[in-house]
Amino acid sequence: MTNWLILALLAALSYGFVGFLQKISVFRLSASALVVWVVVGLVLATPLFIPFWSQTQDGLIDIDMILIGIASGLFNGAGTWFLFRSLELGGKASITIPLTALYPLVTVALSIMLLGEQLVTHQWLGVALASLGAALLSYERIPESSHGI
Amino acid sequence: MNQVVDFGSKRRIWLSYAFACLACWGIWAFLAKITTTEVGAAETQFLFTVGMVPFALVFAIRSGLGSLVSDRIGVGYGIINGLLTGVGTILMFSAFRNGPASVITPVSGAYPLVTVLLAMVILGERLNYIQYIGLAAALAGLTLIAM
Repeated sequence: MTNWLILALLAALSYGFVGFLQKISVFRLSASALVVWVVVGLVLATPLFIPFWSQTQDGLIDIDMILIGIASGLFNGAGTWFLFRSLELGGKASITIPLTALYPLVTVALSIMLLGEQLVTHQWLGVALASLGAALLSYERIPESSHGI
Repeated sequence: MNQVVDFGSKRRIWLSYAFACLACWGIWAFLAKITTTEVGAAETQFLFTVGMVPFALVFAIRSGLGSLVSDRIGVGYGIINGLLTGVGTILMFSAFRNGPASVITPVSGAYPLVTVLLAMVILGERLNYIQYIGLAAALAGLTLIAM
């Protein structure tokens, strides 16, 4: 198994714990409040990663990369906002959450079209099944009154 | 409680927001892949966090101070959540340095597998039949990717 795959599986493990904590937090805080504290935690975590900085040769980061990096955070935040708006407007969590869990397919499409990444047959099948699995696993019958937004 | 899905215009609006979320999160990972390839994973993590802050402010205003601090345990869970999100994100970005986003994103996106297993073990939750199918599909998918 390649190093990057091990890292990706460890990321899934971390995010899995995040999902579990969200699950047990939902009756304590509104979803909006939870997002705020999650970002506070993210900001607090950032100094821990500073020792791993300066992997670029001259230690400088191109302005384009700075903007794209910040845009990645903006898109993530915007996605969360759209999710909440969907639920606020009457979207059923049992449909909305599994649907949004399919987001890796958008990344797959962009990476293949714009970065020229290529997958072999078993990877295609694996990607499809993993994404489908994530969507189905996200399916829960949640009472409509439990959207604490 | 109305269990019937409304096929009117209201449904289309919330569905369009759900698709917007899907697109944004997909673009998020794609942009992070581009940045991580050019600079380090830790630097990308920092820039990503900077981009998240404005939305945290928006959500803070929406919530109001009272709601934000209404439950200390909830606040603690939220902060731990953020720390774990940071760890997960930097692991994902580190993977992006050397591997294809078209495989890494679906693998890290299969995290509900871990969430439901934790919910089963710790909370004693039982899966519905759709989730069992999802569990099998996710495990099969990850196995195929690892081959």
